[in-house]
Amino acid sequence: MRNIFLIIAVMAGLIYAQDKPGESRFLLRGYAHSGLEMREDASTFVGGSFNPIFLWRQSQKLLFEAELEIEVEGGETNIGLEYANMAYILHSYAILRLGKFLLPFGAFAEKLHPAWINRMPTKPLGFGHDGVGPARGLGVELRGGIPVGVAKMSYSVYVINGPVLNDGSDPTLEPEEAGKVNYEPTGELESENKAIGGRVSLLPFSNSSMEIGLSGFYSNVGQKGTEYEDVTLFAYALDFSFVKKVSFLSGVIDIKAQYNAENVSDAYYTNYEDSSRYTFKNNSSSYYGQLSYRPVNLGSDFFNSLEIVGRYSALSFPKGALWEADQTQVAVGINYWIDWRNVIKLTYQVTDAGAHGEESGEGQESRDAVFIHWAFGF
Amino acid sequence: MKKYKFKIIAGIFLLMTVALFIASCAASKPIADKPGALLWGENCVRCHNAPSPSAFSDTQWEAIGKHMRVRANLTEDEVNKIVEFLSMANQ
Amino acid sequence: MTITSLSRIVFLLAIATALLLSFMNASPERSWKAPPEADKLKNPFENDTEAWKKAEATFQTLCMICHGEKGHGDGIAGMALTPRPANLTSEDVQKQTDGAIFWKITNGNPPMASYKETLSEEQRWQLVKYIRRLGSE
Repeated sequence: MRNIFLIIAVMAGLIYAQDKPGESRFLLRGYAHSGLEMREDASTFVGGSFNPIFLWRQSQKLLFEAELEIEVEGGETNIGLEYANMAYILHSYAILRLGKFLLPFGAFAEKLHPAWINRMPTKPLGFGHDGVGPARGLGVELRGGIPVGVAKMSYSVYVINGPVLNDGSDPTLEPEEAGKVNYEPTGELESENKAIGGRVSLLPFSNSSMEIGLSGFYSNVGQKGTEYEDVTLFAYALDFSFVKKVSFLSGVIDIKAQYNAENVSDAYYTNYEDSSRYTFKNNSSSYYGQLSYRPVNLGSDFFNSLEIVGRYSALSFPKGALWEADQTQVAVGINYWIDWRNVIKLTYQVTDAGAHGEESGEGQESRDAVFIHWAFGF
Repeated sequence: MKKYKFKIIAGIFLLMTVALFIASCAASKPIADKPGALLWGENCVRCHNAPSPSAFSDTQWEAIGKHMRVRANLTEDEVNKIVEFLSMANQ
Repeated sequence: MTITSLSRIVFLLAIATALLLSFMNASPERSWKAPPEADKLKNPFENDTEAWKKAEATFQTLCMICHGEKGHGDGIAGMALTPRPANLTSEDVQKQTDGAIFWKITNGNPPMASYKETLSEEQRWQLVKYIRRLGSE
């Protein structure tokens, strides 16, 4: 309830600001999606989510932006703060950001996840909540784009509150997930460490059609004063994007790919069931590759509005951990673009949750699913 | 795991080679010489469809320009030209 | 929350209706007409067979991104616009007078921009010649 009051107060304040003459520019934007999901005999309405984005350009140099995520899940309405930050333009090639922001760790979490931008109704394996690598953080960031001859590069460096290792010592905090890194610790697991990270990318062609990005992230993750004090996390990501009209295909091809990896230094954990000690090589990874094709001159508006898309993604959690997993997923779909920000997606998705998934009752995920989703940006 | 990594890296290199081949026929023109219309088309489609200029008013485009400048790491010159083009084409 | 097959049909019908409505939006493209007085404008480059060459760079930096390199209306930025960019080689465009095409470049019709201020009159007439050339290729 308090959340709702807060939202109303923020909206009222911003709408007031909009009416003020002068340099202020306020804008409410965002995106929403909703759809139908069919698995074997059951079909369910899912993914009712609404993400308003508040943009407040206070002056030529200062921008405030915040995004809320309002989601209906299992009959409950969850409200989350995706980000809220201030960006201050230092000069042509540098911007300083302060607050909670989406992290440029690869490109998916920062740029490609919104429902009307993502060509699929689902996120790739390992790129959603409980994925591999960080998605957002609270701290300070310096970023920008720099022209390099006919090419261009972009950079970002940041310091944020660090993630926390689940060392399995607290029986109330999912001890079966010992060794997992919690990127958005809350309550008792408050972060004591700072994480540093960044991304550099190169756009080698002057038409900006290709981008290759490399990201890194480093932090101490163990709680001070425990045997896990010196445990560190190093994560990195490699992302690739290519969008271009290809004349001999009479259409536009769009390739997106990303590889995320997480390496946590070795440590011994205590099994919560029999108090035995165990260890494992704590490396996780996930990746996806997506190809979409959009015809542009088939002569009919209907066919020119179609897009076909295929995606392969895989997730691997460490062997020997109680949360070990090896999953793959294939999704293919056909999208119909009503206009530039309005899309209906029809997707068929097959997930192979692997042997371990079946055991732990996550076998449900192995089932095939068909989605019909409508997404729009506004 | 090792095998996986090799496959992925090999796959990415293959994609890059194909893309390089396709892109090599594009004429190179310094970004600084490009007009707003071209920058709008080339930069927006990196992530999403190029927006219709008539979707927003001039002042709205200014706020969106700042938002996208931060998100997409655009330079000041690029954003100014894109916003100028959108403001010209929306009426 | 499972639903019956009836409500599934209702849902699919709703989508079908939405799709149908979206096609109806596509018609304004055809109804954009230059005023009759535009037809009386005379192209100063009418008999200059080389004039199109001067417009080539302009076409590539301003028009190509939506109308495509050969003018087929298939540029990368135009693929999601409504109405879609005109196919400049089509009969619909080519049968218009030089004056009418000049008027359209000058005034625009969102999402088509107006080039009254960006391009000189001379440049706009040269572009008309370039469009004629695309049509004859």
